[in-house]
Amino acid sequence: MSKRTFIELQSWNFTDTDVCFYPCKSMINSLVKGIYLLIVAGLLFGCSQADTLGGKAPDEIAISGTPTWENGIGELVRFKCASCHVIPFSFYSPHNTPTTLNLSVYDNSSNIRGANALGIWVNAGILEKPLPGISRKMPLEYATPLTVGEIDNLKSWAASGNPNN
Amino acid sequence: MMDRNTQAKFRFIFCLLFFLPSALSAVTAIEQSKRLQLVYTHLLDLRSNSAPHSENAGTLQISAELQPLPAIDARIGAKTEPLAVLPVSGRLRLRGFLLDGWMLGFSGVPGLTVGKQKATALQVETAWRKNWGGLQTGLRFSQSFWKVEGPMTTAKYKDRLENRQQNADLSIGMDWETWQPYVGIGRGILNSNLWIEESQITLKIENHGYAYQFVGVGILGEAWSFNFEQHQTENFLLHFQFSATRRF
Repeated sequence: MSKRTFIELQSWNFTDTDVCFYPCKSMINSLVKGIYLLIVAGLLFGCSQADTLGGKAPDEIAISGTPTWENGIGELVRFKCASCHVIPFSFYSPHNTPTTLNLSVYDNSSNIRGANALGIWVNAGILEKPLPGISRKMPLEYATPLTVGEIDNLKSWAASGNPNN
Repeated sequence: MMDRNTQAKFRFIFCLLFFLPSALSAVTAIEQSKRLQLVYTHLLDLRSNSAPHSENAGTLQISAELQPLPAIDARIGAKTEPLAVLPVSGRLRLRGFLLDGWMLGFSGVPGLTVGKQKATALQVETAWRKNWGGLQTGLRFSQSFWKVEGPMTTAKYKDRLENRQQNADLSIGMDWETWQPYVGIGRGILNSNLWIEESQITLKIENHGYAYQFVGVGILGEAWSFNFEQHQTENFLLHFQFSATRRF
């Protein structure tokens, strides 16, 4: 940078008609004014919010009376378990989901177990901890959580032999 | 000048006017997962971020854009997704004006690695702008391709998000010499695939139609212009963008 240019920069002697590679005074002024106005506009009007549903409570299937497959448990299991445990698999089923379990129906069909087999695992404690041969407790961490009331109903249903109706 | 408290109250009321909370009081993990994917995808979209001011043919514009990101609750079920995102995102955009108010714009990200995530993007837009005395109108179409790879759902695995978005929006503005206030509405179609390596599944959003509205103000100088634009996308996302533009 020449001495003259340095002095000009120091004393803001550029004019609007100067052709220069260095920032002219008007350019600097425009930038500063523009940035200032944008910050004021942002402070006054800027809204940045996202409702991701992350903090929302999970849906709860409430059951009145004795829980049976026909009375609430079917709706609960289809809604919160069969989004993955369904045959054919849903788009949400992880790759290691059992291929012989369909929790959208109560009865077995050929080689596919139905939800009438679910009571064994519930009684064994799969809602609280991983079981031998099943490395993760259910529901999975990123699945829709069961509420306390739903867990109680599932345990009650399983303890009474997972009745259909 | 308003004091800080008045500014905060004013801003709060303004945000409330825009933000319509979801009617749902309870949700499933699938809904949460889809919503989170939509939020991140919309934040990557290419919006106008400019008053519909028509320039002379041959004018080139280079813009630097900044977008503060909202606080994002990344909980799905009982899990918080370990997404590490910067509080602000940026983008460079090139626009060229052709004859009769036609404009072509381009923005790209050539495999840029930020943190542990690598992003590749190509975004193009075309618009027709016309000044009717003190009134300005603009009709704009844009197409975005995004590919982001990196840990999103766990820190151990490399997931992949691929988006394709098409937008069409109409904006109307006033030409008050230096000030260029404007409003606009737009419609878009989104296709998004999120490949989760750990679960070996792809969460797909197919042909999802959405609406967005925006309001902005441009400050037009000789060589520089500045812009602030506030967006509302669907009924769950508010975000705004700043830009500084140099004309040649």
